[in-house]
Amino acid sequence: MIKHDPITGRYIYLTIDGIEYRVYYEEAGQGIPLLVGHTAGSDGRQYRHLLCDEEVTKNFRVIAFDLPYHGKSLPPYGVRWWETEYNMTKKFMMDFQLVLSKALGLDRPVYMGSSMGGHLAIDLASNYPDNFRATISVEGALRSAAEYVEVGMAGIRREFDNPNVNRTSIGAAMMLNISPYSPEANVREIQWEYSCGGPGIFAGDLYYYYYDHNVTPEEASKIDTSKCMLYFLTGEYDPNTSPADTKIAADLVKGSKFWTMEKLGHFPVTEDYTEFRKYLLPILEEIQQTSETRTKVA
Amino acid sequence: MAINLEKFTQLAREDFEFKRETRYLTGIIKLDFPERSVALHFEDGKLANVEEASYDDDKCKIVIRGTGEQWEALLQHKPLPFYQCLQSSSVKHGLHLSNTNETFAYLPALNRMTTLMRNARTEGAAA
Repeated sequence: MIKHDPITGRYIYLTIDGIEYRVYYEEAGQGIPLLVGHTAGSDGRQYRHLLCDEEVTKNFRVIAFDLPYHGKSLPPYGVRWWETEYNMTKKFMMDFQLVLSKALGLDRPVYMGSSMGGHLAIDLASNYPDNFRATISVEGALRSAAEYVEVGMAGIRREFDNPNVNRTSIGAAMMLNISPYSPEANVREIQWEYSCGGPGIFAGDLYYYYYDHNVTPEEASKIDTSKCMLYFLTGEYDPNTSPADTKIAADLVKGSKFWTMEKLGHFPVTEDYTEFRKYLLPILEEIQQTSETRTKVA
Repeated sequence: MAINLEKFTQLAREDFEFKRETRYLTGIIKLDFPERSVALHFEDGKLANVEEASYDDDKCKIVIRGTGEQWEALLQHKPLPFYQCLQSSSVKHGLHLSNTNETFAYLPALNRMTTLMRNARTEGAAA
C-alpha cells in the first residue's frame, strides 16, 4: 500500500507591480479558504502537518504558498534580480495575498501566518478588512522586539548574509526562537528548512519583519474586528515577539482574542503541531460558526 | 562551575555532531564563568586541548561570558524563557556572546556544545 499525503501542489502565475512570478502552492481540504503564510526565510513546508489534519481540512481549504524567492517559488524569470538587494516590504506582503486570493477565486479567505506572517495578519486586518473574514496572527505584534530591531539591517546582514558564514548557521540561529519542549526531530526540521533558503533572502525578509511592519497604537485601535476578526497566538518561548509584546497589540484591538501558548516558541506550527492545534481548532470552529451565521443572515 | 569539565571534554571528543560542526576551526573558544575560565583549543577542527586558563578576548575566536545566575539558567535541561540557547540568553538576559564571524559560523557547534554542557552538569552544582 503506497502512502501519500493528501496534499496537492501546483504552480500559478501572479503579476505583482508589473512583474510576473511563478508561485508554488500546496493545498488540501475543502470549504472556507484558509491561506497560511510562512515565516521569514522559510517556505510553505512549515504547514505540512496542518495540511494533513483532517479536523481542519474537512471544513477548510488550506492553501500554503511559497512566497517568491522562497521554497519552490523561484526568483522571477526575465528580471535581473541578482543586480539588486532583496528586501521584503509590507506592500508586497499585502499585495501578494490579494493577488493570490483573486487568482484562486477565494471568497474572503481566512489568513493565518506565523512570525512575519503573523505580523502580516495584523497589517491585513488593518488595511484590507473587507478582503478577509478573519486573520490569525501567530507570533505577531505591533513591532518585533526592540533588542532585535536595534541591531539594524547592517547587523542583520552581517549575521545572516555573510560570505564567511555557512547557511547552516541560519538554521542553527533559529534555536533562539524554539522551545526546549519541542520534539528534537521537529527542531531539526525547522533548522533544515532555514538552511535551504536562497542567498540573502532571510536577511531581506527581516526588513519587513523588523522595520516595514510597524503598527502604531492608533492604527491598532482602529482595526475593526466586526469586519475582520483578529486572533493572536504567541508561544511562551518566543523572544522576538513575546507574549507580553503580543498582549500590547491584543489589548489595543477591540474584540480581538489572544492566547499565550505554553511551552511553544516562535514556530509553533512546526515545533509541535499536536500542541498548536489545541489552540487553533477552537479558533477555526468559531470562524466556521460565524461564517455560517452570516450566510444565514444574508 | 556548572559543569564537570572532564565529563564535558569526553563528551565533546566523542560527539559526532560537535566534531562535525567544529570542522576546520582553528583557535580558542573561551568560556568565562565567575570563578574560572575554560579555553577550548581547536586545530583544524580537532579539539586539541581543554584547559582552565584565561586568555584575553582578542586572542579568542569565540567568547562566552556569564554570571553564575546566567550559566545556571542556561544549563537547565528545560530552561525558562528565554534561556533556550546562547543567543537568546545573550539578547534577552545579557549573557555575553561575541559577534565575530566565527561566532556566527560555528553556531551549530555552539548549540551542540550547550547541549553537551547541559549533559555534563555536576548534579546539583551551582554555576
